[in-house]
Amino acid sequence: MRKKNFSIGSVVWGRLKKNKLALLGAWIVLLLSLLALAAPLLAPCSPFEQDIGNRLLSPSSRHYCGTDELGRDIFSRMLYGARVSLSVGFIAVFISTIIGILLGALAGYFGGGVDNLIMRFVDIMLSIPTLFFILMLIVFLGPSIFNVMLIIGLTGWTDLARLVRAEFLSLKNREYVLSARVAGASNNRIIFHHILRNALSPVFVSVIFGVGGAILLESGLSFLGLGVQPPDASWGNILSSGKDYIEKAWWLTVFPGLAIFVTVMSYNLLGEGLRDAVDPRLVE
Amino acid sequence: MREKLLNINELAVHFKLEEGIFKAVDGINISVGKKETVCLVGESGSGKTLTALAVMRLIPKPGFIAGGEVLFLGQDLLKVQEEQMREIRGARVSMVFQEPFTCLNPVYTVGDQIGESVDLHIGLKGLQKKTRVLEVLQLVGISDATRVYGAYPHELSGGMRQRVMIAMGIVSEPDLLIADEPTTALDVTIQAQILELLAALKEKLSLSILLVTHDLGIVNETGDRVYVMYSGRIMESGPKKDIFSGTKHPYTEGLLKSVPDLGPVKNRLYTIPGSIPEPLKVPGGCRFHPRCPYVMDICREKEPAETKFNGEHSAWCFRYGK
Repeated sequence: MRKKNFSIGSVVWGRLKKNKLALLGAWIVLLLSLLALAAPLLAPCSPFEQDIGNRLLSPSSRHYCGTDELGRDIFSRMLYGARVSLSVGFIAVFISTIIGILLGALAGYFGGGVDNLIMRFVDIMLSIPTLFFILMLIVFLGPSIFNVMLIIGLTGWTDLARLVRAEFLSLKNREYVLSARVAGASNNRIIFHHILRNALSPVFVSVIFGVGGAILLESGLSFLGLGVQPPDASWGNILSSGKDYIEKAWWLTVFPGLAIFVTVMSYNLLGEGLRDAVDPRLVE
Repeated sequence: MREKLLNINELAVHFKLEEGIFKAVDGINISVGKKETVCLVGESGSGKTLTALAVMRLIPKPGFIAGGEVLFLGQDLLKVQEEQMREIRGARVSMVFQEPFTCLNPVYTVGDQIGESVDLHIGLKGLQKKTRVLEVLQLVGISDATRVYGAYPHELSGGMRQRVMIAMGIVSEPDLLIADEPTTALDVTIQAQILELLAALKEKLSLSILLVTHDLGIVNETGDRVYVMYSGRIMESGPKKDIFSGTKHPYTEGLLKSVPDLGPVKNRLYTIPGSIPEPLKVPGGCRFHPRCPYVMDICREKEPAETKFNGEHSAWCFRYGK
């Protein structure tokens, strides 16, 4: 009798543990999430409190990352900005994951006309430059955190849909699908219970990459002034307001820039590590 | 004649190919009685698996059921609504396949997978469901049912997996179990065990079995009645003893001669010359004529009609009639 149950999870975790860079990424992702969650406890000042007398102070023991042109504490603003960036990342990816899985599954499973309709729609989406499309939508809907989440989510599902479709195309012909059907399972049950569960690994990897991408996109939009609106803080708009003082106050741009860079890189490292870990062709 | 559970009448399964229509199953009649084991025998490509799938109404595309009826307890399964069909699949008629490894979903435990059928067809939940699953695991001869319940398919041996598949098939106590080459992927000793298990279950659960196989050894061990199928048609049918000792059709004769004997090797093993016709190249007349040692002129021109012998024994061959 075997002691250990070799579930897929334990195998993937075992492989991931050996990848130092991916592990580093995972730790940073975890740390950032905790920092964002605990922002009200950790922030030394209010992110909105202005103190014109102390404007553009360089980093010190009182203001770890200095202050901005209105005398607000950059470190506090960045902690609150992390909340915005991460929640935009998660919620946008959540939306696009739901859409991507649903449409990809339908296209791959049913094939024929349904597949054609969905995939041609994907082709149209992919033929429009994403940033241009997003900017256009924001101009119509108006810039706000909520709209940014929604729009990034609604435009970011195409790659995932293709991925899920490809998985379904190959998995739907597996014999266990036939045997589920023979046992009287409905299409719904076969799609979501039997096939999807087998296609989850690549979906999960793509979701991790997606979070990094969405954070980057949100920062870009906020930098352009079309994302999170001041006085709410986001890494993008701190960076944006700091660019006017880049010669006098380097800390206004370097710290938020670094935050974006480290976050996106961590997600990518973790994503790459996961991709290798779930690859069945990779045998130790 | 026993009371009939399943009557397949003039069933036709066609495939729409670019070059034309391939008649993979071309008008066949099969019946299965209550508590009877019926064997459907033929070479690969003869249409026997398609016949089985047609009963389940699960013909893969681009194939379709072109005609005929599948009467199950008097109800034509080809005419019922898809939803009703789903309630019949797994509950009244279930099916076991050849490859027990690929037929189990790799990401769920055995308990989950058998439990799914319990859920779908009996409606038991929680502990009652688990009790039922453990019960059925023991019924298929798995002694350490609790361990197997929590095991993933890759942790089990081939024979064990096939037992699990059979457990999935019988958990909702169906009337008919279709077994499609259930032992082909297993080694010989395990094969015998699985066949014994099927025979025992048939008695215990008053099960009827439609066994699809190419192995006449299996037919000899388990079958009550036999249908010999070739290129989408039935060639000969009848009770097992008539087929084996009163063989009529040259194709059945060829199949029987191609079974290796135990004991010292006397001659090179007989093989039927040629191979089963390719799709769309099915010969006219009797479709076995290009490979038949007794071929006559008429065989090339007309399809033979049924010739009845004593009892239920029939053959479709011009050597015995028109």
